[in-house]
Amino acid sequence: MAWYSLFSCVSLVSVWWSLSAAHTPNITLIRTSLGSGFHRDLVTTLRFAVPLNPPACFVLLRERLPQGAFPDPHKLSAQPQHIHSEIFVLSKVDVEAHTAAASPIVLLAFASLPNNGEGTEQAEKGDHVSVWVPLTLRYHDPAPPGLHQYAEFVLPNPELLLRCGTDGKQQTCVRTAQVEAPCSMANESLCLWCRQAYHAEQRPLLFSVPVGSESHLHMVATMTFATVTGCTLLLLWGIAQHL
Amino acid sequence: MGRATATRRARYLPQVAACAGAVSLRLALLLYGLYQDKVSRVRFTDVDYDVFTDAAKLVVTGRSPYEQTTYRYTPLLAWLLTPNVFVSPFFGKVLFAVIDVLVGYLQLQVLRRAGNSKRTSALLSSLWLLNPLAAVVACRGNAEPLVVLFVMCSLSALQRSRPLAGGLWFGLAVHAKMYPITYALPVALYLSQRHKMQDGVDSLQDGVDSLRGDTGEMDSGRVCRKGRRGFIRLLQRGFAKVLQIVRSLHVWTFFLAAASVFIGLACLFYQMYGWEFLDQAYLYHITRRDTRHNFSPYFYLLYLGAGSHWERTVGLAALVPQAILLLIASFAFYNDLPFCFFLHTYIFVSFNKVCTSQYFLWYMCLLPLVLPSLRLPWKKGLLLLMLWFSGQPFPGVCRLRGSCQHTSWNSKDMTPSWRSA
Repeated sequence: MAWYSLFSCVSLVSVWWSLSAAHTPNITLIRTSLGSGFHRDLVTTLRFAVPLNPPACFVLLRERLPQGAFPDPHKLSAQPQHIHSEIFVLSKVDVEAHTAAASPIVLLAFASLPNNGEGTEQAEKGDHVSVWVPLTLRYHDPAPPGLHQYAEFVLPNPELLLRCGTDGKQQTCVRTAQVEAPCSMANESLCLWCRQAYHAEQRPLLFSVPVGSESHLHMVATMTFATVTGCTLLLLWGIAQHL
Repeated sequence: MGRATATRRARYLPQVAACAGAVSLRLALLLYGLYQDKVSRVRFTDVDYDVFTDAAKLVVTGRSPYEQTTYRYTPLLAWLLTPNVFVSPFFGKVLFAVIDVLVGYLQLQVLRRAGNSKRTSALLSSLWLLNPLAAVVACRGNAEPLVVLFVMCSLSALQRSRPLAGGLWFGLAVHAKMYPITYALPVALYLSQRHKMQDGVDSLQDGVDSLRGDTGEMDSGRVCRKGRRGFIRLLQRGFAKVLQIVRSLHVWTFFLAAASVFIGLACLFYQMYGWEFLDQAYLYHITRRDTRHNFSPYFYLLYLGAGSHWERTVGLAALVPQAILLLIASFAFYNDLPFCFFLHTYIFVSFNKVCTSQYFLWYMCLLPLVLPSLRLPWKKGLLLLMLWFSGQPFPGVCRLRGSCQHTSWNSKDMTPSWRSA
């Protein structure tokens, strides 16, 4: 009986281990924010343990940027040479809006696999892709008195979609994992993509934006009023001297 | 004969040297800009230039330039830059650089007509022609040289007593940017003073004199009568001035010409682009609240009050010192138009709710014209210049290389930026 129980336990553990191994994503996400200040370069790299098969497979990242940042429309065309991706911004971008007045932005990043029509200098075999998005952080509301003068927001990890095969209407993944999205930047007709799980190498990126402080209000109002009044009177006095 | 020619040529040498230096400087900057844009992630080209080029692309395809978000300029600019699409994206930068040099040339002409020697005029206009800030702004693709050119052309025409030409250029300047509208009052006073119609004014002056004679004979309550007399005299002078303006043919010529250009262009572009043209080109600038450009003394206050109930009040209150100073400066200095323009622009920019580094060009272009008449000891002038530069911290210097963005990120809070504003 004891042997039977032990055998059952070992079997159950083995089955559980196998199932876990089967569901452990073989894709790793690495996110980096380059630069400092309000203008950043967001580089997202996906490493495939099992290389994909270009040109038959395509990679799409669906990013949901929070209110605190937006993709810089003027920099989108100035992509680094070693990164092959195309960005399609689905939402309207108000570059001047304060965070409170801004809306989250959805963008699609079509990543080109090496040897997928774009070509690279190295003979890589579809084991990684990189996506580059130039981000601009927005001004945030001032901090209440007594709190740190930084506002923080998290940039959630993107949704990874894969499509293999030239026929964009059929995919091998389960229906709940199927998503409709544009086939490519050049072809806006809808294709079926498969949502893929991945393992993120680190936690989602956290951005700290310096902000003013509400505790400065009285001092700032007083000094602004005093400065403007003083300068006005000084100028009037100078004009009167001339007259 | 040969000696006279050589002497004549030698006299023009400073002006030629200044212009040649200006052209060389801008050429070097244009080439450097090409290089930096190619090798560096931080571009030399201004973001606004991309906006202009995108708007030009829209215009070429028959669409509205206002489909380009953040295009808040006259459609004339987009039309002017259509060669950016047909010829080369570099065209606009070359155009602005050429306009920049033209502004310096106009300064030379204005200074010469004001009685300055060729050498002095060349030296003074070099403050613009060889000014790295002015040159960099133009070569980065910023459109400020265009409105500066219109203002200089208007000033030059007024100096030559050509109110019609002056009005046409003035109308263009106001269409391109709204700030030159502040020059309207001093121009009206200037034109009416120089070309007043004698009979109407003289009879009014007689009336004032007779009034003074009657009240001077009475003894009792003298202080009260003096104050009352002064106030009445002020009103009469004001009324006389208004009458002078209204009865001046040159004033009418100037403002009718300006109005026809402004209204004509406004109607044309309204017909083409509808309400969006008026909203983006004009109304946006009146109601603009921009806390990202922190040269204004109000920027931190407006940032702290963004969305609050008192924000609008502060915005309106900020207009009061501007209006008072502009009004008084108009009456005080209208006889010296270049100085009056300079003072007006300086007041407008310094007391504005929004102030970017490009705005400095609006009054810097007039500085060479006012220097000959300034009675400022050079040490004091140098001190003032250093104070001005000390208020241009890190973002201002980095603009010259195009290597930094608007705000000083490295400060722990916003107070250091505000203090320098």
